[in-house]
Amino acid sequence: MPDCSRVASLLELYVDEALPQDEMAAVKKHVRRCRRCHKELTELTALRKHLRETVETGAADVPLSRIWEGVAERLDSPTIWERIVWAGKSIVFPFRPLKVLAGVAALVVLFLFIVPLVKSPPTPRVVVESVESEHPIMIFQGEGEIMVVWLFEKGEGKEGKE
Amino acid sequence: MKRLFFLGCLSMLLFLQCPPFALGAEVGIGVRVILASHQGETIDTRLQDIQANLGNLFNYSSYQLLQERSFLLTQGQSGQLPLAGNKDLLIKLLQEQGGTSELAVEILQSGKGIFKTTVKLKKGGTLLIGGPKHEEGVLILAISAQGS
Repeated sequence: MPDCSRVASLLELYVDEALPQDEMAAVKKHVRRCRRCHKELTELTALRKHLRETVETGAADVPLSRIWEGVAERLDSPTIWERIVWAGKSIVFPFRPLKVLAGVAALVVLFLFIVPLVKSPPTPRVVVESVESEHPIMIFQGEGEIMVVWLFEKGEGKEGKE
Repeated sequence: MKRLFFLGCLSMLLFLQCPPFALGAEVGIGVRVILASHQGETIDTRLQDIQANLGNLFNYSSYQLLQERSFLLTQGQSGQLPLAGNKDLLIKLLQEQGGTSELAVEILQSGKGIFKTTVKLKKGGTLLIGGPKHEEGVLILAISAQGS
């Protein structure tokens, strides 16, 4: 006669009816007499039943017909017309969200940083457009961002270095 | 949906490329009146930022800051600064576009224009107008765009 600990280790196989006949009989006999093992067997059986019901209910809610339609569609070989349409779509709409995002990011970088550098050479910060003066003048570019307009008043020589 | 997304992205890019809306934008114009002479060898500490330029451009030994004035101008507005020798400096903001200010700068002698120039100044750029005599030296007007 097996003891309780041995029976407990065999209960799962017992429920699955996966034990040899002699062991099945021994466990059955023990469970009838032992209240603790009987209770354990009852709980195990109830748990198994509950799990089975849950899985079956969940599976029943899945729209298998729709899944099957998709599978069947993929299994069916496309017609020539379908292939042409798909090819057209892939040409017209070749983009995927990630590719689109990467492309947009690249364009932003291009427009914001590279194009302004390429499209126009740096312009001076000071541009003298026109000058009207009663006095003779001289215009010259200083270092950095400086432009100089020098007025020569009557009888004056230029004092600058240029 | 994809087309809308693309149009949105393109619009955003175009918007980013556009210069900022400048309607009614105020532009800061700084004016410094400097007396350059051979009297002494002092350079006003307030001219530190252009001290090197002054030294390279002119051979005066002394640079004194006589006046410093800032104008906050909108398009079409003028600022006037009285100068020594019955002269006046008149600055008018003709337009501001993309960070560049177009200015009409005029020097008046007893109310009569003796010098007029039109310049385009970007932020950080400086126009020096020198030559009018004053005391033992000459006046140098440093006109800088301080941005909007």
